[in-house]
Amino acid sequence: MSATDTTVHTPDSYRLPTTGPWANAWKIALGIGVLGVALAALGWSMDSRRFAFSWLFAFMGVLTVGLGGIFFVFIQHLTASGWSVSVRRLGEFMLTGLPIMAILFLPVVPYTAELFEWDAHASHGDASHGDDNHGDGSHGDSGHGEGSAEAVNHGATHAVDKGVEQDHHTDASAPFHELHEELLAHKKPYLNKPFFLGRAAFYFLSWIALTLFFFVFSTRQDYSRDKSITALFQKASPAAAALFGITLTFAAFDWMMSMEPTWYSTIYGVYVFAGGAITSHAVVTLLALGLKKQGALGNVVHTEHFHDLGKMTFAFVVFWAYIAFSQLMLQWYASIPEEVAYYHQRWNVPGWKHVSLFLVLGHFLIPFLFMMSRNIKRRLSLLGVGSAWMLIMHMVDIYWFIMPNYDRSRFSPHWMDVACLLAVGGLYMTVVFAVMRRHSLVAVGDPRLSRAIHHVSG
Amino acid sequence: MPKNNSRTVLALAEFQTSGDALHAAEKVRDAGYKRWDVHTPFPVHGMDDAMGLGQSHLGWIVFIMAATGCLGGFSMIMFMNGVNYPLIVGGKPAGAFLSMIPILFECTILLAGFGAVFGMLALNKLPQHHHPVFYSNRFEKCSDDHFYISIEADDPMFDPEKTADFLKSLTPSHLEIVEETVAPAPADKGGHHG
Repeated sequence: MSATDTTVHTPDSYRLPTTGPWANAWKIALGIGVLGVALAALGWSMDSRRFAFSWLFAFMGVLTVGLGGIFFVFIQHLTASGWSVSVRRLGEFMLTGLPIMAILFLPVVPYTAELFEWDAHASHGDASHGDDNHGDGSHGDSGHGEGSAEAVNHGATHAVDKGVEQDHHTDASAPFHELHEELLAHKKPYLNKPFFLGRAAFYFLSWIALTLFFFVFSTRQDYSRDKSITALFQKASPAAAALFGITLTFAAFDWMMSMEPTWYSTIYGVYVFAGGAITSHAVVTLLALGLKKQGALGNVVHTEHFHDLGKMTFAFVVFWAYIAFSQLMLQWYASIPEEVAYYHQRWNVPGWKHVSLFLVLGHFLIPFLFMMSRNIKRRLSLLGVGSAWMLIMHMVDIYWFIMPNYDRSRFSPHWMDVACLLAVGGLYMTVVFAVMRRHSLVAVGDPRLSRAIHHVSG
Repeated sequence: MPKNNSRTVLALAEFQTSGDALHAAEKVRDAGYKRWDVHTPFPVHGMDDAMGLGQSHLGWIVFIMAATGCLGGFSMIMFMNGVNYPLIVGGKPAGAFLSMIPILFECTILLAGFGAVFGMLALNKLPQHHHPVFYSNRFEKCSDDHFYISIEADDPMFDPEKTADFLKSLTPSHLEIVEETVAPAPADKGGHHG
């Protein structure tokens, strides 16, 4: 023990290897990103509506991972964690990709009328939108027999969306449609495009501010070893937590929940947060595993840290299930039509039922049983499998949020979903990996580093 | 036999620091003793390894109890509300699975909690009314600032002289061979332990 105490950890002790797979990681990520962008552009020229949905899915999937990084960093400061100093920098790297997410949000902006029902409602006079039936027009407007021209025009996407269902429930759907109109009018003071864009700007500014704050001061501490920076982080973390909680919740409301503006769930933001919290721990685990394999982390990160990261991942898997079930349970029990519509869409529409079941098993039950054992969390290859699996399942979860709104009559996967995920994920990782080349991989200036190295998880 | 007998029940070595106790424990472990223990005023990091304690079986007990609670709860609700007296609440089908989940969760953690508490007690052989270490007057300091290693006489490797010599080689600050008085009962042969 005392031998390692005398080790001097300089900002150059733990650097990204200049040889091996990590040296060119950013170039590989850039290649993936460019390939993804090219494919997405091709897809956009073929079907711009599908592109918008696929892009939003990819954007939200990657964004929530990056936001999970904010959570990972401030929660360590909030709890004054000693053990996590070894791996905290890896979480801080996850933040550095957030500023580029503001640019990657831009493709969403012209398509708000396609993506969000409230904007479709606001601009229902737009013929180009109303005619957008995507070859599924045979269901047409049959559900809106008594509708005025305006209602038919507006209802075009809905009639297609509700598709098969509507033929059997013509009577029931008419009052829903009227309710829909009135509700949207009531929600207009919040759900309108200028305010929507203004809020988006506020979220991105908040996240960029948090990124700069946590990343710049922490990397500066590598050189200055100034203990007051650690104190500053601890003092500022409650405010950071509040800002993070508010912006993440409202971003989730704006960018995913408002796709179905008649449906609401106050726990929605927490649900999205839960997914981000899982993936942030999973990504830190994967980064640490990958870097340790190349010897870049020395003896700073060892089994005890991986065990703890595994415990946190496991805990948030349970938390996710708790939140997901809380939402489902209340809405299923109350059975209010506008609430259950969300689950109706994801259970009674062919295909989506299997995705829902896959989430229950793959996002909770299987990882719950898999990650429960201490032996698995301490066996690094298995922990890596579990972490990678949770990352994939998070994307399925985000897909499940967004894609039922593309075509409400069926499950409709598309190659553009993958292309956009490559584009957004690749560009995000390019930034993260490029920043990793320029900074120490370990927060060597943190006064608690020695404590973290000698951490025993138990 | 009319006169009182005493027999050796325990060898008790005292150490001044947690580090001494830890290193001594490693040697006792390596010597191959089985029925022995370390007594410290506070948890000592690394002592599990030093004593060669394997992983606790408590996890399995808790897991089996939790699974029993979950399946037992499911069977109970399903039988009561789905089979024996089908009950429709809030328009949901009798024996609806979603409404069971909170109760299944409660049953699971209830039995898991029982498993954890009582399993822990059973694995530690608790409650135990008496232990020979309490014959030693010095042992009181175990709750203050001293550290002890005890090797019990029913350990297959225990030999009064050899074990005492072995413990001396660990340089304890004090070594005590604890004896127990065997008072023969007036009528029967077995006798009670003091």
